[in-house]
Amino acid sequence: MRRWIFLFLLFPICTQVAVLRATQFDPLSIEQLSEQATVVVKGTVLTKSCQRDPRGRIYTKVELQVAEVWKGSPTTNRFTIVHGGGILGSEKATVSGQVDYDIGEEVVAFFVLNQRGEGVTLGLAQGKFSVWKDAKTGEKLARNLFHGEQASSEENISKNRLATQPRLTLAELKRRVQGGVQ
Amino acid sequence: MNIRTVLFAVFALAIFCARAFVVELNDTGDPLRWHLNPLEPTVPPNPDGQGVHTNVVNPNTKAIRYFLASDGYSAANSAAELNAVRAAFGQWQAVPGTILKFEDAGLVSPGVDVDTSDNTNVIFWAKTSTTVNGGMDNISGALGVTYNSFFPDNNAQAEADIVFNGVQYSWFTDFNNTNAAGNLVFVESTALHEIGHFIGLKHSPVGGATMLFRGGSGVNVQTGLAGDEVAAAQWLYGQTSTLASLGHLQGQVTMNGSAVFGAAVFAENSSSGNLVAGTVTGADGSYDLPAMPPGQYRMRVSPLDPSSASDFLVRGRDITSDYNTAETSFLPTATVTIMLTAGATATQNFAVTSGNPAFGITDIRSPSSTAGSFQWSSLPVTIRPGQSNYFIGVASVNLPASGAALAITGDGLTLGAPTFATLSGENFVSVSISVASNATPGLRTFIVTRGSDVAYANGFLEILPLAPDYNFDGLDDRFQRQYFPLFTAPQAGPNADPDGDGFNNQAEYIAGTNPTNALSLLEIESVTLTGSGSTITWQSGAGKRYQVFSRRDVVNDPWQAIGSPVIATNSLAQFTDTAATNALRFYRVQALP
Repeated sequence: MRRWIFLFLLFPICTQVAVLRATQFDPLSIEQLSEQATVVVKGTVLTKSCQRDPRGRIYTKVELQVAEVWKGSPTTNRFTIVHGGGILGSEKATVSGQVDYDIGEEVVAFFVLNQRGEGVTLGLAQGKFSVWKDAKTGEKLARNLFHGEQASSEENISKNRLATQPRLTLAELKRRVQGGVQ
Repeated sequence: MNIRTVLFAVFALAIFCARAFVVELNDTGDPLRWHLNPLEPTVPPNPDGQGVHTNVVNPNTKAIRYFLASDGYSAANSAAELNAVRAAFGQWQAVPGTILKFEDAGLVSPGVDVDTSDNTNVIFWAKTSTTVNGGMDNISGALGVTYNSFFPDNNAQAEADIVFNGVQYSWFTDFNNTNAAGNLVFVESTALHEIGHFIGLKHSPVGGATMLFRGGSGVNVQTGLAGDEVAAAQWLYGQTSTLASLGHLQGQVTMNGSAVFGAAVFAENSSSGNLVAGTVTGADGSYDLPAMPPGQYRMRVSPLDPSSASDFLVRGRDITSDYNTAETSFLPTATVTIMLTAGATATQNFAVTSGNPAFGITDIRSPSSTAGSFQWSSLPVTIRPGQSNYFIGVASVNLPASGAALAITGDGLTLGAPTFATLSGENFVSVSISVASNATPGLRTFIVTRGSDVAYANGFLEILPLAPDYNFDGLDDRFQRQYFPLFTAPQAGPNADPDGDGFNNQAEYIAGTNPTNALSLLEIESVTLTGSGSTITWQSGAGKRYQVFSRRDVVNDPWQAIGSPVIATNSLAQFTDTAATNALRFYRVQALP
């Protein structure tokens, strides 16, 4: 995300940094995500269902088949994720900026654990990276709201295009996550 | 267990797509909103027709109720923080011609959590943990999050909660604090935005809209509702007479005969050049701009920025995640003029040309009085009427480095010739700008052209009003904020006279007196006769202008202005009538607007 920058053309450069803020999101860096997360895993979304908690809140429960653990110690290779919102019968609950998991989707996700030991995606949608494969190179790439190139954009890139988010390989993401883990 | 649980035992994973950007529509075209007249949905044990729980909507006043956590954000400033949230509700309620009403239902204890099944709309700051909603969501990195519960069959809202992030951000409330920066978040701006979600709105593609997905630190452009939000509120909650007085723009955007999904469509007032509303096309390429004031509009279509862009103004995913796949490979259109009359629907279709735009705008250069000073970001910028010889511009990595023109829509602007610079890998196109004192306040658009190529930054320049009036009551907000803890409160209104001195707030504003002090009013304190004339002394407000009148006969003579208007410098002003040395005179002092 861009910062405020002052430049004085005719004089020595003076730089001032201030915050440009998403009303909805301040972009979290991969390092911030890694630091704040209790668990970081790579896995595939197996199931997804909407339920009510004991108070009657609609929420979505996601089961993740864990392939790799990058941070933390989940006790099984089937990891349970929850997030608010969903549809139950004729009632729907939505959350602005909420994460969304698709069945069969390969993801790298950053979690904190709630009191029940379930994974709660860090920073709503920011905490999930979708994993996709570059059709030309076969390389696996990742992206979330603010990091990594979008899967469908590659063929549309032309010399006139605006700057795109740098490609983020899965290996690079793993390196940056684990580089920040003490 | 909540009573609604037993109603909806059938499990489903149906997907309802948002079809328009401003609101979420269901499959039958119903927008998500509170159903206030008649009250829906009926939530047991309420009898039919009574609607949702009385904690959610007051069945008698049909006001949406909200409960504020009593601790606000900070111990030292909680009263102002809660009032800032109330003021944000008040501004939405003040949109003219709607049935939208809110009711401060009281305070709830600190430690409340999100729960959209508890029949209570709560607003609070999370202060000990970013994990909320019963341990199901983590709001790290988000300023505020809104939870909506509704019934998709008719999109009637049942409940909503708002949580502000008090763990990672510092919040402030002073509208006049223009130095707030860094991590300081202005409560009112974020509350306005989240309340937009609370009443059913999605993010807007209009640069200066409160519902833009992002804003700057401090008191930013999102403070105060834009025409886009006014139109949305009037459409969702408009009184019958209001809707009858407005028009409806609609149409379809196609490319090579196929519908274009996620094209941004904008309408600006032809005479003022102010951007009035914007929307995004649905999957069928259609767009709707309802609740538009009658008049002549200039319309255009622009692609949103690609979802993969690292520098951008607005991407599809910034509207909602549903627009992540918005079509962006087409050329912006030229402007089309269309006339709209009250109660009518005007259709304007657009056929766009396939291809990647030659260039785009990803950054706005903030106005500066120094030609060589560059300050830029992807946020909208502001300038005031009367500011002259400033420099302003736009930038991106692919803007022309020469040979392009930069225009800004609307009245009252004098622009110089374009200049070009390359800084930090971005090409800047800049112009000098002077804003006439009578320039129409509102959102303007930057337009870069080179030959037939064009790029827009729609609504990314706001001409600020000389006197802010974000609650649409005709009275300068700065006066109301100065004297009332809640500037949208009824006692702060122009016709109220809270101190009972016989001068309402509007009159006290003009006179420069204190509307909460019965002893502060426009009144002649004394008339002193000396050898050099009569000196009239009256209560005044610094900077206010007054005219003294006199007449010799209280019945038969007309009032005649004497001398030039007096500009007061403090709480007492004086004028000496040098002609009054030996005869009876009557005096009157008038405060000038």
